[in-house]
Amino acid sequence: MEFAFEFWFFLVGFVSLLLYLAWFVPKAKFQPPGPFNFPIVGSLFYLSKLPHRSMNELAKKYGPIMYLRLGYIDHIVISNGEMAKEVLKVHDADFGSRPRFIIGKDASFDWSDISLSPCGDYWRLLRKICSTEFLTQARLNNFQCERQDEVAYMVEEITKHNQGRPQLVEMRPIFHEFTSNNICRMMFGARRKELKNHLGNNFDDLFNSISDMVEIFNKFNISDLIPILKPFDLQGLERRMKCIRNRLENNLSNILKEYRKGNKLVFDSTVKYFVQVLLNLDEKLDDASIMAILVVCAFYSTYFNKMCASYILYIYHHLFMFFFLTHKYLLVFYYRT
Amino acid sequence: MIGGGTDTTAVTLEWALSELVHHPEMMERAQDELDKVVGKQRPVLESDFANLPYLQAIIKENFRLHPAGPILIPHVNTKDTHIMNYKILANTHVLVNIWAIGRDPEVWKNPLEFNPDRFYNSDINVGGSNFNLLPFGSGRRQCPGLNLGQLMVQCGLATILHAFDWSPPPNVKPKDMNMIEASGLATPLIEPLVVIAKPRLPPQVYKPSI
Repeated sequence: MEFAFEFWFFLVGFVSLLLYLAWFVPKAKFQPPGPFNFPIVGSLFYLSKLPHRSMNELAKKYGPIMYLRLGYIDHIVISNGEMAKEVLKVHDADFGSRPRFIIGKDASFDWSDISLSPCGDYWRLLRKICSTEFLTQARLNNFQCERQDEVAYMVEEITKHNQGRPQLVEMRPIFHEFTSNNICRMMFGARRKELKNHLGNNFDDLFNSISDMVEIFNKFNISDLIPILKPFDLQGLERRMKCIRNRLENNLSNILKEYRKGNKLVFDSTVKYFVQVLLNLDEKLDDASIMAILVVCAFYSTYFNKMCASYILYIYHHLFMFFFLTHKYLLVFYYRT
Repeated sequence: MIGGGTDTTAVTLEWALSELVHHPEMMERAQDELDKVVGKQRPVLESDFANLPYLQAIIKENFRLHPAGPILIPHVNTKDTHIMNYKILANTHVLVNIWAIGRDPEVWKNPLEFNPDRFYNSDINVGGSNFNLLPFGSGRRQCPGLNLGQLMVQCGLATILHAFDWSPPPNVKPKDMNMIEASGLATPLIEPLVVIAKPRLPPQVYKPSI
């Protein structure tokens, strides 16, 4: 009995090792250099909570173009300007697509935003809208007065703390207020406070949903790297993202309805803000695309920043302890009988 | 737009201000420049930015050392691609570590030092043509909000330097300020920046219109 157990244990181990070698070693021949990849987790162990730092350390050893397998996904890491030029300029067309990580689907309203949509006609259309309608130098100049105004609000906010003599000021909320009001005025035509008065809960909830979304993006999703786990949605991130998407859709469609009505809600602004531009485009966009554009999450370094190996280590620790303990109990059980 | 433009810009401003509180001599130099170009009787206007080379240099140096997103959003290739002598299989995720590129000792002298002089009157820009400084990426997937982001940072930083003198909290020396980065969507400072602001202009210079 015990022979069979040990035998099968080693056989399974041996066969998986062979499969591993047969699958991954031939690939490695023409790949860029990189650290050793463990089965299943790949190089995840090498990354810390600040992955850009760990990758920099690794790059010192393996060079400016480095291969890392994280989970089941092949990655290359670029760490100098010359290589960046190869990827972003010389081979720009080849590397123009985006990974389809799981929560991205709902976050980008089925890949209809500019930062995550695949290279194609739709993406080109969005790019065109951005470069000819939204973010042109001329349109940015149109909002100069608004920015000037927001700057003055910021100064007022800082002095408010002073009350006669200089006090300590926490800058993060002030900068956040400054940037979000700037963006609101360009997009919706008014400051956050006014928008809240006019659009009520919808607007407030829109911002809350977006910060919830940022929070989820900040979490590292294990199913992105080990796709076999996807159906289980272990961390519940996919479900949460779906809820947020519903909230966003609700809020934004109500907000768009108000703007479409075009009554007193349309703020008197001498310059056209983005919602107006979007609703009056020649190429009519569907609501989903408009929403995606409004939310557009150029979520910097999205799923990567929080890719902490610690999470994986945690799982591994538990798996390992489970096998270790069961094995140990089996042995104890065997010797007693 | 809401998601992408707010955090990244706010974090960039916070880093820039903490570097300047950390280096009072640079703050003074930037304020001297502002006083010379703008004076003390009117607010900074966007038309002034072109005449403020030291402020521009500070902003570039801040982008180099503290890019809001340390790794660009991953790119993916749809078919096998050859780079140098390597073959990159289809569906490989490409991570461009702009944080590391900004600190490459082969390109930047004393890379860890915050030194705006390296950009003073230089024509290096952040528009994606110089591959050693890529806070917004480059090529077809470059950040479309590049100009807006830069404008907001310039406006914000120029104004707070023009309107206030900044110093660290009492009992903290400028050199002892905490400059450690936290992990997060946009690598913010681990401890939120808390500083003392002392007005340096007559109060009527900056007044909101509404």
